[in-house]
This record gives sequence, C-alpha cells and structure tokens, in this order.
Amino acid sequence: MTDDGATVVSAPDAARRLRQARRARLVVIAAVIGPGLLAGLSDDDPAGITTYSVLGADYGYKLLWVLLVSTIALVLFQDLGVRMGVVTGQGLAGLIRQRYGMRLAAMAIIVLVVANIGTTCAEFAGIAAGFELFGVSRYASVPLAAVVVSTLVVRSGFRRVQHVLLGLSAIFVAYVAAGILARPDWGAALRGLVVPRMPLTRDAIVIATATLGTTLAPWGLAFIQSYAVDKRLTPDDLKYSRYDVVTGSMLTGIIGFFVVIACAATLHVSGRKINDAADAAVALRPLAGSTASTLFALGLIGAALLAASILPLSTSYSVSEVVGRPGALNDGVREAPLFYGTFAVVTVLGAGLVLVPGAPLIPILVLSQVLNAVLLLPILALMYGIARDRTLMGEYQASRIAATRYLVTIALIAVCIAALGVLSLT
Amino acid sequence: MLLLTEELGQQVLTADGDSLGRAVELVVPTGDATPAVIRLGIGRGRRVRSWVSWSDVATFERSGVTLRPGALVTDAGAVTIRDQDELWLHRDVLDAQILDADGAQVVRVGDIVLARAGDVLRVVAVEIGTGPVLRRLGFHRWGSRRPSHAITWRDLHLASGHGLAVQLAAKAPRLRTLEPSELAAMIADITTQSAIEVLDAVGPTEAAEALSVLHSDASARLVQALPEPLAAAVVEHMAADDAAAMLRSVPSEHLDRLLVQVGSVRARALRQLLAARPDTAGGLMSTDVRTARPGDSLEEIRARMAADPPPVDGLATVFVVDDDGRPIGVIDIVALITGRAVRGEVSPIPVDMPVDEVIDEFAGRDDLALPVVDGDGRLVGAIAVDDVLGELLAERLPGRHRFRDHLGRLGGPRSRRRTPRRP
Repeated sequence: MTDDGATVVSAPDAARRLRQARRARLVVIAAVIGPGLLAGLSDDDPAGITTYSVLGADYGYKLLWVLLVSTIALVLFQDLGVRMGVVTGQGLAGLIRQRYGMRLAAMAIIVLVVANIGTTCAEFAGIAAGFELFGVSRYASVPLAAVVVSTLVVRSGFRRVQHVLLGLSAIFVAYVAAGILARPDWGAALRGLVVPRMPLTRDAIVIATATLGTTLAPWGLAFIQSYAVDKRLTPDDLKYSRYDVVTGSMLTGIIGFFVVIACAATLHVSGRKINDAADAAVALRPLAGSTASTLFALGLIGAALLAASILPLSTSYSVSEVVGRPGALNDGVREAPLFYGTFAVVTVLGAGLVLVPGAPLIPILVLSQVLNAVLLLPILALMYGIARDRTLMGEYQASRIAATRYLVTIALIAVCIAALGVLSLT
Repeated sequence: MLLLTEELGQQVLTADGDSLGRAVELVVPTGDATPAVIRLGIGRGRRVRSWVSWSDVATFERSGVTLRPGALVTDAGAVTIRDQDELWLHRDVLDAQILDADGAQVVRVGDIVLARAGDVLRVVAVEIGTGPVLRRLGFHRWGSRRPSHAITWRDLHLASGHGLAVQLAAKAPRLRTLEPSELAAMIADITTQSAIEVLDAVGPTEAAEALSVLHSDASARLVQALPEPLAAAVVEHMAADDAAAMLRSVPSEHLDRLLVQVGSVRARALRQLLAARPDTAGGLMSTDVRTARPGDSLEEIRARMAADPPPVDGLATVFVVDDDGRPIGVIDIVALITGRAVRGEVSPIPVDMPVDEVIDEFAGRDDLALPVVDGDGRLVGAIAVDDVLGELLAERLPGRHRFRDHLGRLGGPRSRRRTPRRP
C-alpha cells in the first residue's frame, strides 16, 4: 500500500484498488446485514402466514394491494427504527421512556408484553400444527422446541443461532414454490396488487387490518431497533443498512404474496374456508399436490422456530430498556433477574398455553394479532415524535418530506382501524 | 430534599392568582458541582410554553408555584435559548442514560434530587434503580422497598442525547476523573459517534487506557472510527500486546493506513505481534521486555528500570540474555529490590505454544512473567500474569455485543477457548 497520495498510480494498481474498494464495500454491507433480514423474515411467522392464507382463501387476489401497502409501510418504519437506533444508541422502549416519561413507557411495555406472549403462543401453536401434519404430537414437539430454542439462544449466543435461523428460514422458499405449483392467474394477481378494491364488510376490514398488523408487528419494530443498536452501526452505515431493511421487507412482502396466491388459486377458487395456516397446508394437498402441501408445512415450522426464538429475546430487551439496564445479557442470571425472568415468562406462557387441553387457541391468536394492530398505532405515533425530536435525533431529525410520509402511513392505518371499529360497533 | 418528579406538574400562579399553566421544566447551568436552578419552564406535558427566571418565583411548593408581583414571563417561542450551556432537568436528564461508575454500566435516571437553600433550589444528585421507577408508577410501598441508589451531581456522566453533548462541551476534565474501566463501560454502551467524542475529549492517554480494558471487538470498532491522528496516538499509548489484540480485528487496509501514522519502532513491534497466531503465546505476549546482560550490575538494571518502567506491572521482570539473545536468567521484582541472587533456571515458552497451555504454565508456577522464545530459543517477548488474566476474563470485559455473542459467562470458559477473543 502506498502511503503517499501523490504517487503515480499504474493501471493494474488502479484496478487492484478498485477491486479493494469494491471488496471493502461488500464487507461493509455484510457487516450491516442482519437486522432487516431477520426482522423481515420473522414477520412471516405462523400468525402472518395464517393471515395471508385467509386473505387469499377468502378474497382471492382482490386484497393483494393491502399487502403491497403494508410492505411499503414496513420499509418506511423499519428504516426509521434502524435510524433511531443508530443515532441514539438506544432501543425503542428506552427511547420512549426518555422522550415521553415513565408512565407512557410502562403502558407501552405492558401492552407489548401481553401482545408478545400472545404472539409467542401463536408461534408455538404453529410449531404444534406443523409437526402434527407430520404425525408428531404437540406434547412432544412444543416442549422440545421451547427447550431447544431457549438453550440455543441463551447458551450459545445469538450470533451462532442467527446463522441457523437464517438457514432455517431458507425454507421460506417453500412458499414461493407452493405458490407457483398452485398455477395462479398471474394477470388477476397483478391487478389485485395495484388496483385497490375494498369490500366494505366487517370480515374484509378485519383481514386487511390484521394484514397490516401482522406485517408491521410492533415487536418487529422493537427488535430491529435493538439489533441495530447492538450491531453498533454508525450513521455512515445507514445507506448500506437500507439495503438490508429493503431486502428484508421485500422478502416479507414477496413471501406473503406467494402465500396469498397459493391460497387464492386453490382454496378461493374451490370455495373452501380455512382457520389457520395448518388448515391451508392440508387443504392444498388435493388441489396443488402433496409436494406443495409438505413445503407449506415445512415453511410453517421454520417460520415458527425463527419467530419463537426472537420474540422472547426482543421482549426481554424492551423490558430491561424501560427499567434502565440495557446491557442485561452481559450479566448472569443473578445480576439481571428481570431480563431472564421476562425471557422465561414469555417462553413458558407462550409454549404452555398451547399445551393446555382445550385452550382456546384460535381466539388467543386472533386477540394477539388485534392487540398488535391496536398497539401499532400508538407505537408509530411515538416513533414519529422521536423522529421529529431534534434534541434526540440531532441532524438526523426526520425532514418535513419524510415526516409527511410517516404521517400519511399512520393516517392510513388509523383509517383502517377506525373503519374496523365503526363496522364492529354497527 | 425534593424529588423532581414529585415537584413538577403543579399549577403556576401569578401574584394575582391567575393560572399560567403547569411547572414542566427546571433549567440549571453546566459546570457547577451543585448547580442552582436558574429558570422555570411553564407549559403542558413536556412542552415549555413560557419561561420565568427563578428569581421571580416566590414559592415552590407541592400545593402550587406562585410568582412574585411583576414577574417577567417570556413566551418560549419568542426567545432563543443558547441551550448548549445548560441542562434541562426534565428533557435532558430525567430518564436519560448515565454512567453508573460503581456498577460500571449505563443506567437510566429515575429521579432527580433537589435541595432548598433559602430561595435557591439546588440539584444535588440523581436517583437510579427500580425504586424510583416503581414510585413514579404509583407503587410507593413497593418502590420504597426496592434498592435505590443516588449518584451525586458532581459524579454525573450523562451518556445519551443532548445531555451528553452538553457535558462533553463543558466538562471534559470531569471525564478524566473516571477510572479506565469506568470510561470503558461508558463508551461500550453509547453510540460509536458519542464514544468517539468522549475519547477525543479525554485525550490519547486516557483513551488508550480505556480501550485496553475494552473487549477487543469493541475497541477495534472504535479505533477505526477515530480520526487517524488520534487513533495513531492512542495506539502509541497502549501496551503493545493490548494494541495488537485490538488491531487483530481491524481490516488490513485500515490497519496499513493506521500503522503508517504510528511511530516506526512501535509499528514494527505491532506487525511482529500481529503476525503470530492469536491463539498462541505469540499472540498473547508483549514485545516490550526489559533485558539485562550477564555482566550488568543490579544498580545499573535498577536505574534503567526507573528511567524506562515497563508498560504493565506484571512485566516488572528483567530477563538476562546471552550474546545470541537466549534467556539464561530471571530477575524478578523482589530480586531487583532485595538484591537476591539471579535465578539461573528459565523455562521459556515457545512462541507457538497454544494459549490454553500457556494458562496451564502460569497455573503451575508463581511467576509474574514468563519469557517467550522463537524457534532458535531467542527471546522475542514475554507474557505477564495480567495477560493471562485478561484472557481468562475476556468474557467479562465491557463492550461485548448483546445479540451476537452474549451470555459468555453462562457459556463459561469452554466457549472462550474455542474462540479466543483477547489474544
């Protein structure tokens, strides 16, 4: 390497430098990648797949545009989450406490914990349903999954698990295959994607809101911000981390798209109703072949394992951040009882509920998704307030144009939820 | 003693009894050990609508705040506040992150303790822990049972947001009073950008000490982000082995650029250390070793040691080398002081000995330092007992990633040995 800027650079030398610069950029991208990809992929959890399946089975291609809008909102707010984490060095829950005070933060965290326990339960229900399709009892699969996932995350650390999880989530390709095998009507799918049509019925609004809520889950936003903080990204990394966020969010949308068209091309056409993603997998068998059905079930299990490992971790970080000890995982169980307590409570309750004979699983799943959607609105409003706060964000304060984009998205979600409220009252 | 969260929120009345809003903010100047409140903010929630000087406040009680007759109330929109010279207790300090030096961690301010002295209201300390959190949520009985811990205002180190910026601008000397481990705990838990500002404020000597006790993942990240002249100065001030441990995680192109700016002798020593495998004695050793020749008198050796003391205490051992540079004797610190005879037996460690075996070597003896030799038996460096300690305790060093390789302690020494982190 030359240490003198004035040295004449020969052609091969210049080419070498260009290669080096390119490699350096790839290294940077590799270093910032992760938060967006993981958060995006874990959005396609059983709750998400169930919602997308119902969307396709009940409404065909008609409501695909809701998924497109949700994906755009996902890009927007996950990018904001990363930016907030990078600039302030704090997680979402901690920032809410710093900006809005203890009471609001406590309220936010209580609702978040309840919603996350519900969602974790949904993940374990997905594991149970997925394994039952292969003839494994839930009383074996659920406890085993809970123990394996917690041990992996707690004992060997997230870095190593992250690779396993990303590997597992390659199973998501299963959905794409299942969608193509179902021979969808591509023209109708494209039309549904870009032409907004909304049947003004309660059920249609519920599924549209649920699609928004499951795609843009509050815990996903909390997770991506904590992870960005933890990766110690700097403001210089922001332009690279955007690739990561956009890729992750796009994958969420693309996988959702294929789940919807798989169900639209088969279940909707033959007029079959489903309750959850496992139903969808079973129903797919006579219509799209047993390969599609098996792939769908495998995708469900992979997605559930990924989300079941991230949810308790993300919840523990949020709780510790509010109480004020951000670095809890560097401590042992004795020094950070709150962190490990939260982790244990979320995992045990989430897995335990699935094992209670006769537990009302479907209402729990629906309720947790509704809670997520309800929680989403205030969380986004709080994020907006932080993004516009100059004392916290400094020169990275959201510009007027960016602020308008956030507001329009928030307004759109508010309209959805308000419509749902009005229709469920009448 | 007053608590900020219990004092804010009451009605502010003029001398005539007209309500102006609620007390929402108290402002103190920076740079004082127990600063007096200079301004009261009136408004709603967190938003300050108007300001009034503290000298215009007649009473400040839980039942309400009254202003003096003729008090000057200024509209917050009408005045420009130079807020880089002051801290807003509600906005900048309450719930903000600070360094808890005792626990060597970053925590959040739960409440702020104020004290009256006549008409003056002074800030004395901040409260941390779960006690104030529970109290503010209305669980007074639980809150009073939980441990709470006060940090005096004099020892307050804000670690986030505007408060950090203000303190950095005003109080760099205060940061210098921190122990290296405290400074390390702080820079490990704040953004890279803020950490760089902190390191810049304390200067290369303190920065080098803090980076030496930081986990090498974290110190490598920071040294890359530092302005190059400062990074080079920091590398010069660090012990060679600590610097090498840090630089191992720096990409080669950046490393080359950095070493060009480091003095040539130091740069050569570092390159030599970096050439060794990180999980061997060569990766653990320091090249900064004190040697003596067989004919040297103890007086001469003592004088040389006094003039050029070793970088770490553990290396206060002088190795006697022959003409070829092979170690033939050891003068430990006790021998140096008492003039006791030089030990003739040396058991040098081969430069390629695995770190695990080096640890076992130390466990089996009570030496403060052992010589490291190359394939020809020539002295190339030494390993001090604190290098071994650093290796054993790598998992406990601040600055480790939370998501990436957390829970090292639960993972125990085995997981450390698989991936030696602090060679």
